[in-house]
Amino acid sequence: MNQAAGKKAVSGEQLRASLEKGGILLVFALLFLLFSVLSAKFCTTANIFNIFKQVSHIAILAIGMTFVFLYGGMDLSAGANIFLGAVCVAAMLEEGLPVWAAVAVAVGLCTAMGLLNGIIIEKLGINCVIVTLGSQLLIRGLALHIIAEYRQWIYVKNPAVLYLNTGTVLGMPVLLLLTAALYAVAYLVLSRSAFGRRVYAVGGNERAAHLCGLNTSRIKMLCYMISGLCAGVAGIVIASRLGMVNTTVGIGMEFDAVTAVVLGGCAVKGGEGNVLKTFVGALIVGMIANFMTLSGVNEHFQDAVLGGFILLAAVFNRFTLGKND
Amino acid sequence: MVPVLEMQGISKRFPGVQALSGVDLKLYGGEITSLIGQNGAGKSTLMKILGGNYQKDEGKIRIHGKEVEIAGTADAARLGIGIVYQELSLLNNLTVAENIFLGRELVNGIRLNNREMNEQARRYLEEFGIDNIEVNKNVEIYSLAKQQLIEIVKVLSHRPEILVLDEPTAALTNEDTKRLFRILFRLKEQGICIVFISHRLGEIKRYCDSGTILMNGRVTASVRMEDVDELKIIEYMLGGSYQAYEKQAAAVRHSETPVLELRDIRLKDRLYGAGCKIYKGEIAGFTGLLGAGQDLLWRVAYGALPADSGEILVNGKPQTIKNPGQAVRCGIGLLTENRKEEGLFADLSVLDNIALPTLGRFRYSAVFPFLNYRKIRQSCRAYSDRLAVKMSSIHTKVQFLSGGNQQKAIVSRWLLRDLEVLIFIEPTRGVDVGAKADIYKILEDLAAEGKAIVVVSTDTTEILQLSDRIFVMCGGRVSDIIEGKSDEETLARLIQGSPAKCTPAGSTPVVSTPAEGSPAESTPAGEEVTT
Amino acid sequence: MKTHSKWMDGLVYRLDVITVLALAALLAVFFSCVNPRFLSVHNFYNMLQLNAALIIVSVGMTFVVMSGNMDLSSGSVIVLSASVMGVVYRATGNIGLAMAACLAVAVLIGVLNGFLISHLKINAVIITLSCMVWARGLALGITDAKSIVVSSPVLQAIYSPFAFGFFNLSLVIVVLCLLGGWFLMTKTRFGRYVKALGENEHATQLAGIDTRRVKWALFALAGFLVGIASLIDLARLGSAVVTIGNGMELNAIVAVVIGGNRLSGGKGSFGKTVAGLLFMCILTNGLSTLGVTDDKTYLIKGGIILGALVIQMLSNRFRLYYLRHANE
Repeated sequence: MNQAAGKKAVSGEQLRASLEKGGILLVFALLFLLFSVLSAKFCTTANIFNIFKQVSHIAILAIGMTFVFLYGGMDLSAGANIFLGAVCVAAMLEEGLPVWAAVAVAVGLCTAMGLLNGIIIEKLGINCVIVTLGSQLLIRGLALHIIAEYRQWIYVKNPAVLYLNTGTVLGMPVLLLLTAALYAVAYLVLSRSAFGRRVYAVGGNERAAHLCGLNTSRIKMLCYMISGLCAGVAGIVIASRLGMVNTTVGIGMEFDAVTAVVLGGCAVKGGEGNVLKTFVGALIVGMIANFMTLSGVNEHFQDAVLGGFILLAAVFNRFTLGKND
Repeated sequence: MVPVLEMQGISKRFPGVQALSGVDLKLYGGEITSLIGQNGAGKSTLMKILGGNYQKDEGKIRIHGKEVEIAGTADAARLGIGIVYQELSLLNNLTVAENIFLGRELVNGIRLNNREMNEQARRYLEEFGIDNIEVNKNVEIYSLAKQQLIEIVKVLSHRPEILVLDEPTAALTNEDTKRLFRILFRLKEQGICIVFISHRLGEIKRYCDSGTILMNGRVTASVRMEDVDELKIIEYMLGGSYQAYEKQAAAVRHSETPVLELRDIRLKDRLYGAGCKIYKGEIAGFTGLLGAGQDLLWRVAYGALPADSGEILVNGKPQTIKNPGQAVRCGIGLLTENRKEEGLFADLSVLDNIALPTLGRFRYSAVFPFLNYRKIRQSCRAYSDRLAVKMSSIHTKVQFLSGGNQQKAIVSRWLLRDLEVLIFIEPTRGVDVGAKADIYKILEDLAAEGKAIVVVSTDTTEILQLSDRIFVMCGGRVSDIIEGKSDEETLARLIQGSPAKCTPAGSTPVVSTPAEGSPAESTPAGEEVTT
Repeated sequence: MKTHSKWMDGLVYRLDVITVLALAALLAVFFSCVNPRFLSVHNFYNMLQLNAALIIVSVGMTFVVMSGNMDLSSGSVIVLSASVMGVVYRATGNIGLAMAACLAVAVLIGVLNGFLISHLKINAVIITLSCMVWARGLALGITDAKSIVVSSPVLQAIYSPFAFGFFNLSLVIVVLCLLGGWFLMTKTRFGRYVKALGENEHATQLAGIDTRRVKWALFALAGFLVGIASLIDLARLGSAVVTIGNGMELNAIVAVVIGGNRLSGGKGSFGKTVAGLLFMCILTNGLSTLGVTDDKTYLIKGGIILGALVIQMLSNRFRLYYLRHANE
């Protein structure tokens, strides 16, 4: 009898492990099938490219969020930061700066905001949730201040920035390629660079990482900077996609990114997760939003469903990661 | 006479270790029974089974001859079993009285009756002859020794019939220990049966009535204290007559510059000017009673704890070591006894665990700073093979390895980093016997290769077996250095210490220090005081 | 250090409260310089009225923070329960039913969150974060993002004065919530277990306390208070507007933490929460009397909150340092 129980435990363990590995892909496939069956418009090349484009800024934002989650933190200022990035790039172009300079200013400013978060959180040891909630106000205020100079509305007319949205290379949308490239770099950094491995180490066991001689606070601050950087890039992407920037940009996007990351199986306590799965998580977010729009669901209910998905993902992770104790 | 508690044929297996096999234990009312054995002999496991923290695999537990099942801590409490664990369960943000009554507060309707609880708590303290503790003050303001007494009072206030004390005297001064035993004697007269776990044989011999001696999870003897002497107990603990250990200490060349020198390290209430010189190619053993400061000294040397003052010289040059990163760059590595909390990255692979501090060396180039995993794999394999780490693959998560292999993986980590000084705090705690021998062999090989090895352990056999020189610590300083031949008895005597050497005003053999007033309330144990 | 006085010790011991009160005073001086009417009895009264909901939510948040958790969902739950109340009122016209529905929704969400956090042991931040998103979505969904007017004498009674020309029911409710919270925290088993839970969950369990039940109960309590806050705010506004409760979670958490309650749990008091509330009320009220644009409000508020957190943290470091070395 004991043996039988042992066997059961083993298969339970195996099930858990395989769910942890492939669960998200399974969910993705099931949802994809379901949506394809339910809506004829869903599974078309045009719509799939459309989903990729719609979700690109969330996917890019989620890269930064993955870094922050992996070390065991949280960045709720990402939504405000993406707004700042979009406003900045649009405003700088409006002022006649060349594209490269506008992009550099936007990304630089967002990265600086990430650094600010990192410094307050790490050097002063204040909880990341409360700091980023507070800095979110500051960042949104800054962006609102800039956009107020342009009567709350800036059109993006620069062809190079717009090309990001409309262009294709070998039949693939440029946005998709950009997102894929960023994910490839993030994956390389996390799995094949000293910094990336150290992020996992700090998230897994901060005390041990410190005793290994790692500079844990520098690693964490870098994570926040990366989150800021990704927000800047995502801001440019969204400015290009919308063709304009107004004051509603970025609201609630931090939640979309968190959903993607949690769906991708990142442990909230840090140390576990895979940036490629975050991409799948982001795609799921995009798919759900797309499907609901196709079937005419009220946009507010879409938010409710999204929130429900964070919850489901968290519950799912609880039973697959088994790391919450 | 029916024993109050009888444990019969208790067995417990943990993954990779048979912690207990067929242990019998009988306790009678009005007796203090001591449970004796070296670290890892199974004392704590046995008591955790009694307390309902662990479930036994086999065996029976009878109380007053009636068989009982202890499925959880609540069952144990209901059966009148009270356990004072080594780590205190007091809540720092509550007052003494609030702690004592936690979970069974007295109420008037829904309102807490604080006055009555304070009054009763005061009476408990009086009953056990404890003064200087105010029941309405937060426990965090009291020293560890006093917190220990509060914890004991908390357990006693449940009026247990069986009281277990797990190393209660480790943090206590002689004075406090005497006070504790006055209380225990009073309880004994009331017919309570007491289990006392300690490493201090002197105390055991002096105060206990009987003893059960464990070795590697088996009972080697159950004795009446009046029938045996300390030597006999040691013999049972070690499972045979003990021998003198003699190591060739020739490797130590005092004329050389020491590879690491600590001078006059001070830490408030813990270390009073401890210092030592460590040479290439030696194994220096540091031992002492729990709380004598041997582990703190090395944590300070590694930068894991900030010292109040003191100097650290590496190869004769003074260095500032404020954090472990600097220590590693100076060529010092530390392995602590809390593998899980302070050493391992449970969710990362063995490879990552080994390579982590050394990753920077495996970059392709400055332009392409990604890691050459083929090279990392080769290097990690080289070390893990050398230390014979048993694992299915180098990509296995390290949490799936046994304790001994985890320890070897961490050793590989520092070998790969190629450090000069390796500090091992309790290197074989929680490691099975086979792996223990392997680790000893590794340490000896490393020393032979010219590394300086520091072993900090409370296990005297381990220290005697391994060390070229033994540094005995007492009261926050190095009190004796043994070179060459020694045996358990000599070492045991030195560890127990003499007042002249252990008071802060005395002198150390390494560095003489100016006299300093003895602190009013010292907290000698390893916990950090946080407010 | 030996010559320090008892007086000085006491001062440093209360440094966290003193710091936040000093910051609040500084803000008050600043706002009254800009707008002389800021420092008037009338404005103070006004401030209390406007922030009644915040004060009530903060009472619940004090329990949550004391237990070492965090509740990010308060603001969204306020808008959801207000919306439900509006919808029920519109459908039935029965104010009693609507009020009951409002409270029930808030308590149910508290119970749900509490269950997920305590029994499934999922991180409170992620649970309440998801709740923040879905509750707001649901609220906007059921109202279609439009305000629903709820005019009823019962609600109007909450804000109509019945004594001294200004004393009304909302103030009574606020005071009752504060006193009730204080009583629960300091004088009952529940409060003590919450405190114990925040310090060390394992040790609390060892003392035979069912920590899961405590956690569950405290989220339900917080939910109930959020429900009351929602009622009060709805009564003040006269309709279930979609912006009701916006940013409430941030304001409440900041009020609790800036007052000196430890965010990781275990340490704090209602006095600290009240001090923090004073700071937050002056800040939000002062900003609105300033009459500046949205962007400046965000900037100033964010900056001041971050600055105050930093100052509080530094003063706390000094305080700990001082207390640790005080007996040398």
